[in-house]
Amino acid sequence: MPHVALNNTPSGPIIQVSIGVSVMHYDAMVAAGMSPITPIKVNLLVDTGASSTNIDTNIIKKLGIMPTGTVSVHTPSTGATPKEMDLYAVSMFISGYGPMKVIQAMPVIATDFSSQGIDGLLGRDVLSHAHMTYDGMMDIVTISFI
Amino acid sequence: MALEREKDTYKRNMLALMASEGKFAVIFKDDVLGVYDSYEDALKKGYEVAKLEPFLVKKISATDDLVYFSRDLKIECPTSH
Repeated sequence: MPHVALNNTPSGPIIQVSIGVSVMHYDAMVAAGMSPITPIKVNLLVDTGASSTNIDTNIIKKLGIMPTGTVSVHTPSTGATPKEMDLYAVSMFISGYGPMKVIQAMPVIATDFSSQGIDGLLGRDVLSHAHMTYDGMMDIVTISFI
Repeated sequence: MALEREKDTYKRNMLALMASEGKFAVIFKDDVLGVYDSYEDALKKGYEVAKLEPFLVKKISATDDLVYFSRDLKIECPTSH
């Protein structure tokens, strides 16, 4: 599985991955005689404060997928009452040193990141399959996926 | 918010589904299509039956699924317009 070294940017550590429709959606499109959508390269902020991965709404729009679930979301501004948000099933492709890691289907939340210079957040749902080190002295973050 | 019909179906069937807590239910319109151990298998069943129409995959739980973010999120629905 891939080993990825990330430079720490002013926003934090950014990882480039590709996001596509889930493998199951891809198969359904092929069966319907439709042209599957090529995975889109995105820059995600590695965020240990995010329990779930989050992708920009424009990327979700480009993939042309519908929600397949909902989830209650807690943020600093939601207070005691969580906000219900839609979940979208996507695939993720992570490259680095070693074989590519392919996640065939995972649920993500869609949020507008257009003003933040990133395409979303890589959360602990994906990091739970990795070993990560944060070297603040060298300003390098390394992630090894299992 | 999408999938209102499917969420109503989940609520109507929740007592029976609770016997499979922790697994994933697949719901299409008014029908529970099945219960699966993994998210991937549930999604596969959904696409097999519903094709490219909306369907719901829901982890069976007595409480709401919760996710946490240490930053604020701009909340909007990309499929609502």
